[in-house]
Amino acid sequence: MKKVALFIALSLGLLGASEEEEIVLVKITKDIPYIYTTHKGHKIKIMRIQDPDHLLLDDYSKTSRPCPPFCLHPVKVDKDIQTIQTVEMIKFIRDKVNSGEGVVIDARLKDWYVLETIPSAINVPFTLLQKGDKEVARQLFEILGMKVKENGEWDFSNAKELAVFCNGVWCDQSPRLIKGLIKYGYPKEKIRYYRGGMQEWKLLGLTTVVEKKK
Amino acid sequence: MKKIILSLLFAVLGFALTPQELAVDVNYAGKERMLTQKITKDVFLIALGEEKAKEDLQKSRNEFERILYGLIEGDSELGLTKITANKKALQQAEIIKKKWLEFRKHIDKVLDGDYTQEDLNYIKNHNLELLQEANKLVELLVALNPTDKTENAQAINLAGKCRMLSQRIAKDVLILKKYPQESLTDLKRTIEELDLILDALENGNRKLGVKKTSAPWIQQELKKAREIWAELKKEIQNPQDVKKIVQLSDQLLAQMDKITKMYEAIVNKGRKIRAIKSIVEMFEKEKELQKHIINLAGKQRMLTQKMTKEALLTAIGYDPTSNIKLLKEDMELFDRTLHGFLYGDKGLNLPAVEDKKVKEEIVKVVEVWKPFKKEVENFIKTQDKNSLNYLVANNMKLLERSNNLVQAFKKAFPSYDFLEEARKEIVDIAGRQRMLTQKMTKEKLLVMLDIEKEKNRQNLKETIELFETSLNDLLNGNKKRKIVRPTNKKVIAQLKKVNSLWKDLKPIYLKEKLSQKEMDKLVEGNVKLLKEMDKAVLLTERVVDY
Amino acid sequence: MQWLLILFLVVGVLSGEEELKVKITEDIPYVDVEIDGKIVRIQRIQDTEHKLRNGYVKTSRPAPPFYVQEFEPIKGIETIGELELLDFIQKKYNLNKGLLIDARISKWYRLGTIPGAVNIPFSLFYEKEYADRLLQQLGVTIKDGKRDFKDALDLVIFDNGPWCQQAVREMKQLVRLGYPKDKIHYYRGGMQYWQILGLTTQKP
Repeated sequence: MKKVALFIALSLGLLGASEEEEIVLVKITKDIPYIYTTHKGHKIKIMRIQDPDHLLLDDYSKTSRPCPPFCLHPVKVDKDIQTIQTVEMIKFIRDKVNSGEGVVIDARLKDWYVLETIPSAINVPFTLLQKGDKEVARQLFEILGMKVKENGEWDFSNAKELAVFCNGVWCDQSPRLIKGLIKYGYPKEKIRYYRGGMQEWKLLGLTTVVEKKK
Repeated sequence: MKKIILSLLFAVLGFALTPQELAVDVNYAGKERMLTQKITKDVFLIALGEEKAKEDLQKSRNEFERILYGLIEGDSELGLTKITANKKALQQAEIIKKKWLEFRKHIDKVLDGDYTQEDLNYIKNHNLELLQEANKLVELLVALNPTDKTENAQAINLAGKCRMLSQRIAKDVLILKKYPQESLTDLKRTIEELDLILDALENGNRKLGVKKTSAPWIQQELKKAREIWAELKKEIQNPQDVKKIVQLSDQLLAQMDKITKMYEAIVNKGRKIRAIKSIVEMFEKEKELQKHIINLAGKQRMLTQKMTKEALLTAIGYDPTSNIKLLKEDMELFDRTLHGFLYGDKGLNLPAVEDKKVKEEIVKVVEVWKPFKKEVENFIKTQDKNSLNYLVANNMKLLERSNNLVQAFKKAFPSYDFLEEARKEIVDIAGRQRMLTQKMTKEKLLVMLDIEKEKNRQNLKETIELFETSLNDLLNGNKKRKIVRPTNKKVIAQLKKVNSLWKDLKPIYLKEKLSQKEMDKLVEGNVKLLKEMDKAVLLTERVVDY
Repeated sequence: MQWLLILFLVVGVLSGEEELKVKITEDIPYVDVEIDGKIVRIQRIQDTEHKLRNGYVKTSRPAPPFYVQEFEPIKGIETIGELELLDFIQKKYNLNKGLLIDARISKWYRLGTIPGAVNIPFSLFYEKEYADRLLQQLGVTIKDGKRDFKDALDLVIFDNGPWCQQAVREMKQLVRLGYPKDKIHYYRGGMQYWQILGLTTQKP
């Protein structure tokens, strides 16, 4: 698996220049062989595993997690919230996250997040807004760029665009977080739902970040 | 070219053209049955003082008439074409029309509100007659349609009949209400029939030729129909509220209509999918045929080299009997295939070529082949040195023209399959390897025979290099040439087999003087190499995941 | 003998109307589909430790040609998921109001497909003679020399999954032929998602 453990990520940045000429056999799209981003200050190259024989063998190849609770989810969380997939996610990281306009949010519990996540993702467990109140929401939203006006109104005009994900089609952590975001007024047009989540990411052999080994 | 093959295939697999949907006319004729009963029911509702039924009656009357005329004259909006195909059916429709025109007079009087007891009597006594005539038409039309005699077809028929019965039962009740002295026979018969059919649909009935449906959604709807019917029956036993009976019978009509359509959907869907499958099958067959043609054309290239090799082996006195025999066989195969391209050959599964450009290229091959063949024939007879020299001097030209023909075929068969495109390069290279096995053997022999020694030594070196790098690319992939490394186990195993054969043979090709044993190995080995390479080509084409 | 008994018990549990452990959603344990007079039940593999172990867990098919598809590769054509597809099977496919199309080349299709799917390889629609015949089966009529799509069927089209282009090619070609976009739906997850979720497949 193409995992980048954070403690070795530092050295990875050095590879950048020499790899420009590399012929990539397994590209992401016709025009995108790979992209760069940063994760907690470390430069990370996101690309697909280049071994055409590689199989995904870990728990993300499990077919039958019990339902309930791991039931399939419809394509849309909300009719006004855009569902995106991997290419759009990659472009989001390249165009929005890297420029500071956007944030990738891993909606899973922290245990999941530290084991493996998408590069550049920050962790906002779905429970935060479920348990929390308006005050918790305000603190979170302020981190995401919301401003409280003098009259107390919440101003989202500079709030960041979000791409929210969890484990995949059978996971309800990101739908729940998104519902929480909406509940406290985060603008729907600034939220994207990456439905395929970790599973789709890994099925395409894309680079992941590991903070803690299992 | 393409069109010729296509029409050929369509002729063979013509069943794709059979009508896909259940005949519309059967449906409409079936509806007419129901309408005779609904109209009569409405008449007696009005007779019992339910003026509101007039609107319904008017609608049903118009509908009955429109369908009737549609059946006789055609009605594009209803999707009806004139039933001209069968005189009997048309005659039957005319009979209905005659009876209807008489029947209609009395209906119109009811609609106008100036009807007498006589009008009601007429309607009461003649509606079943009209129903019977409509039923006859249904049967005639069903016989006309070569419908599948499946249980589902029978179920459609029975469920359809229930629609009529639902109206008939309401009618029977209303007539009894109006004329309490009338006999109960009609009503009893209708009840029995509904009981029987509903039970048959729900549980299956061998006599009626219907099985219990396997579709849970139809079972569900049948259960609902049964519930409506039970309620209706209860009301009929104790007919207090006529309106309730009418309402329930209409509910049953709607329910049975829904069920009929579900049965129809299953039959129609099956037909449609079968038709689609047959079209796709034709398409696949055409593509297979094209692949076959290109493969044969590709093999011709190899044969040019193989023949020359065999002539050379004969010339150096290496097993002349066998090599002459092989040479003759290869010559005949080359000749037959070329002829087959032009005129078609059933045994080789080749249709005659129509495409102008391909034809031109064939003619160009023939130009070179004719004199070449003559010299081969002469060589077979006399082993004449001049003939051999001719083959040596002209085989590359024949190869070149044969290759042009392959390219022309490829152009004539446009491929929109990008997956095949991605693999084409690989198949091309693998296909060329077959020819190279023969070419290098030929060149080796030329060197041994001291014919243009230096030039042929150089050629041999280049052929070996090309063969080797190509084989290596096929095995390990080559990013620059966009050759993907195979992941399919069978393909890998086959290529490895070729590779180990080659490793064994290569030193012999490079060696200056050969012992008898080495010579044997070369002669046997190159044919084996050719065969295994051929297998690899076929595998590459066939595997799903390369 | 003992293992035989255990086997019977297991089979008994699975074949009976017992509550399934791995449902599709909380309310939908399974979906029935009618194929050629027979009912096939679509449900999920019940072994909760089961892992997918065929070519569909390959992460790195060479791209080109296997580029990852956008979520909505053709504007105006709706992308649907498994639940929407199952709903389509019940409300449209079973009632002959819609068709489920496997757009892959036939060698792939023959290895296994979604129950009920009919194979129409994408390259077929590029060849007019075949396209015309097929459109007729999809309910397209010819009026005044033009194709009329009024009664054309609703379609769900799928292929191997997000990294596969075959369905998109087929849809693009259908749109070129005039097929209304609102009658086409794209099941992007395709065979990969279908199988990674342990849903029933069928060899045609």
